[in-house]
Amino acid sequence: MNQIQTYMWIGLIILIAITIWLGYLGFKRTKNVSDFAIAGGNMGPVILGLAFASTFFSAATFIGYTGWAYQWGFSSLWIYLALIGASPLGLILIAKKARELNIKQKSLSLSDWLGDRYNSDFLRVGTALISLFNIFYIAAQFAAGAWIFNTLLGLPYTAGLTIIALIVVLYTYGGGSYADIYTDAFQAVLMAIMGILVLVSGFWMIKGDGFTGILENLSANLSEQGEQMIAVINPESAVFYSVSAIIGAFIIEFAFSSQPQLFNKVLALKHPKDMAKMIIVYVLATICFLSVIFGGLYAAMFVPSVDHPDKALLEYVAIAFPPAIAAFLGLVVIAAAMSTTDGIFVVMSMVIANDIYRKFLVPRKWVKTADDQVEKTALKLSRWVTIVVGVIAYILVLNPPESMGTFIWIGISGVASGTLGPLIVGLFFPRRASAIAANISMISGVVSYLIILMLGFERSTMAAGAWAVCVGVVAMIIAGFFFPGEKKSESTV
Amino acid sequence: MWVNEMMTIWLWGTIISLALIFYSLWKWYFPKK
Repeated sequence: MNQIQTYMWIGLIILIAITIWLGYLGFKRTKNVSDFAIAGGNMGPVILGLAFASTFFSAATFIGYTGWAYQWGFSSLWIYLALIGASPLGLILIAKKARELNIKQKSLSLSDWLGDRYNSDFLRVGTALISLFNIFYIAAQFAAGAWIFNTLLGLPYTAGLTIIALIVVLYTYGGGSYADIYTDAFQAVLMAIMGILVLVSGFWMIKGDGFTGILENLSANLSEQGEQMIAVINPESAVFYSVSAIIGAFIIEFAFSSQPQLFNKVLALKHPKDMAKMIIVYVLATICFLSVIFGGLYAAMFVPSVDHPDKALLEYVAIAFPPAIAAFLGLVVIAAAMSTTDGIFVVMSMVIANDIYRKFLVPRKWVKTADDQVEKTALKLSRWVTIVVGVIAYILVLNPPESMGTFIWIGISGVASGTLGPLIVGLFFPRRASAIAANISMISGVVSYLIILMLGFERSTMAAGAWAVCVGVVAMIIAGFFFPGEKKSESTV
Repeated sequence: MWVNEMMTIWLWGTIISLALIFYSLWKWYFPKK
């Protein structure tokens, strides 16, 4: 066992202990479905801003994005701009109004909110079922965690997979959203520290006159590997190879901030007037996290022949820092994976227990439950769903597919293309917001995404989702003209 | 130009993004006096 492994085992035990303790605190506060779904709607802005950020950024940020920068150079910084520009603006557009409308609506999830806003069960159940696509997202994060255990600790892949799946299922089963948000805030702090450490390591690794001098030396070194490494558009890149691919990335990242696992953080905020504080905390955390992308560029200079781009940051950190920090990076990737999956677990639970069971099957008497038992049954169901989802995700990645990244985007793009049209029009154009238009938008967005995906005529997975989101939004606007909203809906807005 | 073309875009892109974020928060989110 080498030094990094010793530190990592010690750190891992501490990380698991703190996570389980925070999960237990959440368990003690979870009394009903609203607690499980949105922490009873009574969270403060700082803890939620941190939780929003760590849910938003996953293991893909630390492993995938740094791998892009390592492989394709400076053009990968477009992802930094999409995530610091488009995503916060997307959140600012929807957050305030969605939370204010929810004072009366009291919805518990994105699909619940849409179903309540349009008074349409078809939309509620449709968008709920689309949300189930995000099980691929959970599976991919599990695989990333297991890969870290395997790469750094030498644990067999299935052992690592079992550890991460068990921990996340345990604390979300018990504490739902409370556990999700408490652990996320803690995990966000770890991720922020790592991002800043990696960025400033340039000062002692690269040398140069100030930050500008360091970057000039870095740029000169990378240009020796090929001019495309410092180009604005790198034709070899899988993500930023053309202007349209860049535009697609901005569109899908704009839509990303209303993903269901993020939307329920907006609904969890106690006082809507604190929304700006929450967003500022999330933006500051984002700047810290994204600094890690520079580590991918540093790695291209110092460890140019890594056998897989996913390992670039790990190898760079191992030579730039003492073993304790290299071990810390491993823990941060685990934390980043957990903080994203737990939020999606909660969404999955709500889809089944609230959106489908409590708000659809019970009112229609398709399932017979005594009135005083509905709430208890729904909470019990939420907990069972976490176990079932955990098992399915585990099985999905027992033999991880090569194209794991594509898997993640299927869930994200499917959800975004089906929900962004109804969400934006429902917030800002109540005269055009009819249930018929929303359902047309949901179906055309998702179907167009599946067509783009099946025909494979879009090289960038991000751009494929972006065009489908555009179809969904345009369909909503056009359908809104043919089927305008009801007059009375204006008074409720 | 700062460092190289992409870093210049990154610098200005980041500045403009943060300016837009704070401007839109100030405009929409902070209660009018």
